[in-house]
Amino acid sequence: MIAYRIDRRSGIPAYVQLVLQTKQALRRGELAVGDQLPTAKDVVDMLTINPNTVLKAYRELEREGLVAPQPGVGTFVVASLAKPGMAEKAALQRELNRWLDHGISAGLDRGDLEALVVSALDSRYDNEGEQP
Amino acid sequence: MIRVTWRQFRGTILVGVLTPLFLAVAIAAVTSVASRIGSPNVLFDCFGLSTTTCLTETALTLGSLATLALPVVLGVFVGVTVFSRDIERGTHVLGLTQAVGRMRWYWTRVLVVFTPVVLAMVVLGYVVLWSRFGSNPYGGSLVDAITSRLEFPTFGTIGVVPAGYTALGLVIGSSAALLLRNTIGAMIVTLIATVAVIVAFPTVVREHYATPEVRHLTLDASESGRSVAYAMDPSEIERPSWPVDSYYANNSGERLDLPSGACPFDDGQWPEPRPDETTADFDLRLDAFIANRSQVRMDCLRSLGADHYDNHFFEDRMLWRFQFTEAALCLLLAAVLAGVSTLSVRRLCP
Amino acid sequence: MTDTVLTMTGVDKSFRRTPVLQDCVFSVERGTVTALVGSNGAGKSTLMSLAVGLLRPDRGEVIVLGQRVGQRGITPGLSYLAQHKPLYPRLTVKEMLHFGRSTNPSWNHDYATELVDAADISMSAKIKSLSPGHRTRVALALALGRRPELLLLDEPLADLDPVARRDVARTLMRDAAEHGTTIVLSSHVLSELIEVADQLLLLREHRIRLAGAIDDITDDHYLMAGSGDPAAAAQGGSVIAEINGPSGTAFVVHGTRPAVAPGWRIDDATLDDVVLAHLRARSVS
Repeated sequence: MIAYRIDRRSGIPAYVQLVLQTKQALRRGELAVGDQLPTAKDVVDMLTINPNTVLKAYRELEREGLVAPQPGVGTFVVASLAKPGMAEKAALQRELNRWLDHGISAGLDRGDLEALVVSALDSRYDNEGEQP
Repeated sequence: MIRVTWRQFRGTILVGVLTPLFLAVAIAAVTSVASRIGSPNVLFDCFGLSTTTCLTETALTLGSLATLALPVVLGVFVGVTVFSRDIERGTHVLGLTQAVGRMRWYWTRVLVVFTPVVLAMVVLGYVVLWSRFGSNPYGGSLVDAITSRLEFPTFGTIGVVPAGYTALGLVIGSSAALLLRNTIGAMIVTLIATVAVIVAFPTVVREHYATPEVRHLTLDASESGRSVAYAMDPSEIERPSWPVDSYYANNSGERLDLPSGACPFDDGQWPEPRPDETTADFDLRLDAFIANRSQVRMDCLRSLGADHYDNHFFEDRMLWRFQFTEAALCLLLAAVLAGVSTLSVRRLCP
Repeated sequence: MTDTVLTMTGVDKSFRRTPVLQDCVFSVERGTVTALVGSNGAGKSTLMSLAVGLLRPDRGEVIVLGQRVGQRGITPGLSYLAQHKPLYPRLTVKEMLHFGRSTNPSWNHDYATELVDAADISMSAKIKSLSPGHRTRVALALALGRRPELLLLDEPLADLDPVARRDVARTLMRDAAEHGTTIVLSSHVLSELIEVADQLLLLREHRIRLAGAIDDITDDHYLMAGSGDPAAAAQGGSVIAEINGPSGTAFVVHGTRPAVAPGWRIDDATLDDVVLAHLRARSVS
């Protein structure tokens, strides 16, 4: 869940800061399409700001086509700002972590896992002559 | 709402209820001591600490006086504080900003706090009644005269009347607190007003509760009694009556307003015992002198138009009728005042 | 179609011939958090008392949740927290909440208890032993237990330490977020309200001088620093007042920024600047 922060001395209105931070998260891949944004209540719990500020920020993001509200459920990300490479990297990172989870739960230690990776890389690059 | 009011004023209610009850218990205890030692239990019969008898008498007299003073004390310290504490602290705003309306807030508080106190005073009134008149038919005397139970101060210390005065005192207190919003001011006003009420009843109002009995006395009989105010024969009745009016009337029954000093009994010249006279002779001479002077006086009165002497009085058997009338009057006044006080409640602001 | 929860039209109120409010006009929309500001003694408490029905206006109308405010008890759906946080000192916290329960038919006891528990206040503590911060939390629980649609708070953050102020503000924001409660709170310290409010009502010299969304208000004003006649440079905007800011003295102007203003530096105005200027301004009316 994205953790918003408001800098009250910056002179930037609170809702603008929320919009900027959301866009930042989208760019960095911390938020992906389909993720739910925190509810106004969640943000107020974290930050003690006016819930209308949160709603205003979300409406702004909706206007820009980045999020869409699902009544009764919440506000969801519908578009990504991530650069192509960054999105793939994020996806790959997630897959890799899942593979690691499997390996660790199967009982392999770091050495084993490393060996598996190296052998896979070796076979892939050796067989195809350093070209994927 | 009732339970909350009780909880909020628990201390006040307990003070208001326990004070009369303690007094009642103390009076009952002293009374049983007094009856054991055979003290006459007469109000103001003896005042001082000289003997045990006197001590019990003094204690009972003080108890009666305390019963008379309690309506004032309770009015000042319970009636006023029931609202003044809230107003001083600003917490009356709390009562006014809940869903329960102003009127319900006011009436609940008045009834929940004042009712137990008034009931405790009923108990006290009956204890004083039992204490003074339970077994002693002649109780209730004042100084060296025999006064009726219908008179001040005895009437206000027995039966249901102390409770009536208390109800009135409490409502005077609460009304003053709501109107003045100043605690000390309200207390002073309550003190003065409640005392005024307790004094006004016997002096102005009480004699109108019923039509007094009238006893006509011939001039002869009135003279022989000498003291016209107490011309009825004490052996005819058990308890003294309350005389409310007495005057000379002409033969049509109309009141005669004789100038004071008309037909004086004597000119200050009374016979002196002569040195050579026996006591018996002197007594005879004195009786003759008195008879002669009485006759002269009667002739004088007749010449001014007097035909007989009228006494208006209330017999002691009217006690309960008067008690309930006065108590009902007090409760009615209290209810009306409490109703009028709702205007202050309507205008109550933070 | 806006849903207005509180309206005042043409409201006058005087005390013993001293006018406190004159011709007050404003309305509060549902779901907003309004900051009522004004200098000390400006009439904020009087305004709130009129809305609650504790005082009657000499002239004008007060309408809360569609009903005229009368003397038959507080409008259902409205809760009020007075400045001195009235509570009965000899009661325990538990008994205080029971008072709320027995005097209000629409009372949510679980919610009120939850608010007290969240503040780490013992239910058996006597009210008079509580710190100011805890007193405010209990008084707030009492007000919120009525499950109000509109909550009026008179200087709720006064006399509180920073931690307590933050906690009270958070409780209010959570209630607004969860239940959509409309909130109006007054203060003579603006910084406390800036973070939580989205609407502003400014009271000066018996009247409402500013009313509206805070973002719009700050957008409509700007700062002008420099030398010369500010009125001329403002080109149609109205100069409110001169203020001292961290970057020197400047004029606060209401209006659209001039395209050209030689000799002047134009800056954004913060809400602080705008409010300060309006509180300083002298008006002819």
